[in-house]
Amino acid sequence: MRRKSKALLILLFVLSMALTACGGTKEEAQKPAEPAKEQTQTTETPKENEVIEVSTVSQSDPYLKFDEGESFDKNAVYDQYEKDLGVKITNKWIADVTQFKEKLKMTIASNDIPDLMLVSATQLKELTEADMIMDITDVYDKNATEDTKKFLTMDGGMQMKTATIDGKLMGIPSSYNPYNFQYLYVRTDWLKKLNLPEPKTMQDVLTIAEAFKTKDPGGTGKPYGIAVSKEPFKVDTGVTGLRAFLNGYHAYENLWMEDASGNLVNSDIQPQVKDALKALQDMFKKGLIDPEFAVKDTEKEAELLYNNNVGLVFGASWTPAQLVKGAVKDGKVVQEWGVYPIPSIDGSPTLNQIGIGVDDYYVISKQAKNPEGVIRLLNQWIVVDNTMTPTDEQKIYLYGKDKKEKGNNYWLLSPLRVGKQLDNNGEILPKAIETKDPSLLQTADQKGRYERAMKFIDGSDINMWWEPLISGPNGAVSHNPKILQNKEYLQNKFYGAPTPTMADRQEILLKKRDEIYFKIIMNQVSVDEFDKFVGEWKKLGGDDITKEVNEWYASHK
Amino acid sequence: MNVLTRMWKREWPLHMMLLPGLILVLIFCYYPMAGIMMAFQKYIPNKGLFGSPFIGMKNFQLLIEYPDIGRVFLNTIYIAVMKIIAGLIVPITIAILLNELRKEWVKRTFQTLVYLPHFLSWVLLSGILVDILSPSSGIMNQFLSIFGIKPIFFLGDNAWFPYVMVISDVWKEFGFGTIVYLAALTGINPSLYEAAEIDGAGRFKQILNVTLPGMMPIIILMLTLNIGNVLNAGFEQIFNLYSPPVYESADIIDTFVYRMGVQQAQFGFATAVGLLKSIVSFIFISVSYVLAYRIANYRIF
Repeated sequence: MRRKSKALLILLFVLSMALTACGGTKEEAQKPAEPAKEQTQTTETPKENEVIEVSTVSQSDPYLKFDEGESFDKNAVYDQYEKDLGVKITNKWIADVTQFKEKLKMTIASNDIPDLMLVSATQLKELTEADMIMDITDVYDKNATEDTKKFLTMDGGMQMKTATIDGKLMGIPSSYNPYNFQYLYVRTDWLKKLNLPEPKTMQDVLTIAEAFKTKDPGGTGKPYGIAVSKEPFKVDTGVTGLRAFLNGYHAYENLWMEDASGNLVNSDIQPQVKDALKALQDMFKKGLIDPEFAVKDTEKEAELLYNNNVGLVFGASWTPAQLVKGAVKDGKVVQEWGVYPIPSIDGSPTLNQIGIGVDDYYVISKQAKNPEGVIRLLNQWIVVDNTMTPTDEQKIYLYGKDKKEKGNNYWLLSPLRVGKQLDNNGEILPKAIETKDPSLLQTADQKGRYERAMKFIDGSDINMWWEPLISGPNGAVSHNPKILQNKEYLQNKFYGAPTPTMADRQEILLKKRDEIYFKIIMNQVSVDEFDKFVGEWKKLGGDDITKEVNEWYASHK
Repeated sequence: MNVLTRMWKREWPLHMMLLPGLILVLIFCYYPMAGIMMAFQKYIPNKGLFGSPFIGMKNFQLLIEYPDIGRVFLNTIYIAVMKIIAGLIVPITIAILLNELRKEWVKRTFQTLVYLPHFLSWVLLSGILVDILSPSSGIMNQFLSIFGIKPIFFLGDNAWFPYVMVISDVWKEFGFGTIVYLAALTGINPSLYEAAEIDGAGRFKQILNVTLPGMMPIIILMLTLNIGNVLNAGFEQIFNLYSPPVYESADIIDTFVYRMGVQQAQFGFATAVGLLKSIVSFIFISVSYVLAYRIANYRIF
């Protein structure tokens, strides 16, 4: 009898364990399906004052500083959206910059996506094929304001077109101004010290680099000619890259361009690249390039700039914001930098390589209950971000509850952000700053930049040193009008999702390319290896990709 | 039959006690194995395992067609085998040397110190290694320059990269192995040493004839377990330290799968490679198991 009851007890224990284990997994398995169920119950007609919910995922950012007591879960910006639009924003997860992309891939792979998220062009296509995201043609048409529609088609509708697959709008382009050029930044105090002319040609650049190396104007004992980091060809490398250097030799990084007969060819295998690599190899041999660049990331390599080892670097217009870390020390400007358009190796001007101004897209999950909420967020963002004279409520979106600019970057909290596809900063800002005339300003962005530049010029905030170098009379953007006017840029002609062979072979082609480019630069192999690489590139799928790209091109002309 | 039923009657509660563990194993180890199907599919997340189209062996075909695949496999095996061998010799030697130490506190301090790096992540260590091995400012090259050796770019030179990987991995992990072997040493009967001493064996002879044979079962166990790792050359370490100029000697299966599978979102392909790795590891483990039994007459299971 006793034994029997003991056995029963054990059985009961085992069963309860097993049941809880099963119960747990079952619940989990059902989760993703839940929203779908509810969707059928509450479709359509969200009443005027009813609060609707939009879930998303967010990227935490070191520049985003929360006010006390606020967080991604609860903050003034989300509250304001809820108050103004009746849209409650929730986060499924938050990840920092380094992990966001990986985590996003996992989220997609596990089919557990939020209502709204920012994805790459490749993912846009995959998600469309997998039928995970919504065709938002109608939602957008019905809910987007006229201003929003105008705002997103300022470039003639090119960017919206890239978000349209088979005639259906599948996402909202995370737009920005495609005319993002790169420039050459040089230590002007060193130029003066060594009595060197300003760089007008690529030859000048080489001369300056060599002088900086041999004469060591920084007095560090370890000078180099030019700063280069470990991913010099990546578009993400805004400072310490080499794309601009290639451009100076009329070579381009992974860009599809027309050849003489109007067919698209890939820039990576063009002979001009060989010339550029040859020049880089010569520089490496002379010790002008940090021999360890292949293992140093931008921040690490930039230390050479901060510490006076290097005084020459290519970079985007915002490069001064990076340089400021070394240029301003203890409340004093200790480095003088000048910015120049990318010089050319020969008589014909350098063409800046640019994209189409959209790399990422905001997509709406097929399971989303309130897609119109997303479009409302879009409308509101465009209004708030572009007003010259924000109301008190609108200031909350930018600065938080105390409505004052204090460098907390609260704009990063808005879950959906699009930028202007065109700007005339280059025409307006240098003039306005030179004449100190704020009445010339036309946009909120210009106003912000003007105010920052003035803070440096009138001496009230020396840490704003970088803004005049971007926007001032001789700043980076002051070169833009000429570049735009003379069309000294080259836009990528292919903007579709990856072709089938691209999906299979892109990885190996880029790997081969990086390997051979690096080895040539580092003088491990002869520059003639480039010709071998071209043959290999074609054989390994490059020819097939070219064919597919041209088929795409023919159908999109 | 009677014996069996009687046994069953007596022991069934014990069997029942196994059930929760068994269920957990089924749920977490066997159920996910259905994911192997992905290796034969063009996996589309939304359609899931049962909706994604089957494409037969195309993922494997793509793997074989990949032009550098031979080099990738060779690199993997080369680095992994060196790691296994060095990861066996170094901790055993250190453990034996430590065992000879008389002062207990010296032994313990040393043991703790060498164990510490095991807890550091490669992300952190790679930053430190880049600095230490830097040809222009690293201590390693400054040290070498005392002997008139020209600076070596350890992380950018194909001739050096694999060895740097092996040495740094052994440095990080030998403390862990040492502890295992030290534990094995305490299990040796002290009377054996006394007997050896009476027979006139010196310290060295004692190590050779008493200590090593006494450790043999653990050594074989560790070796057998490690041989399953022959295709794992250490993703975290290499991914954080390699760069385009050393792809030739540094690209291993895992970094390759990472770039193909995760970065290009080719889930089916990545699974195919993973499956292949598992099969090869399984074969290696089986063979080493049989060998361990035949040669050393030792069974793990």
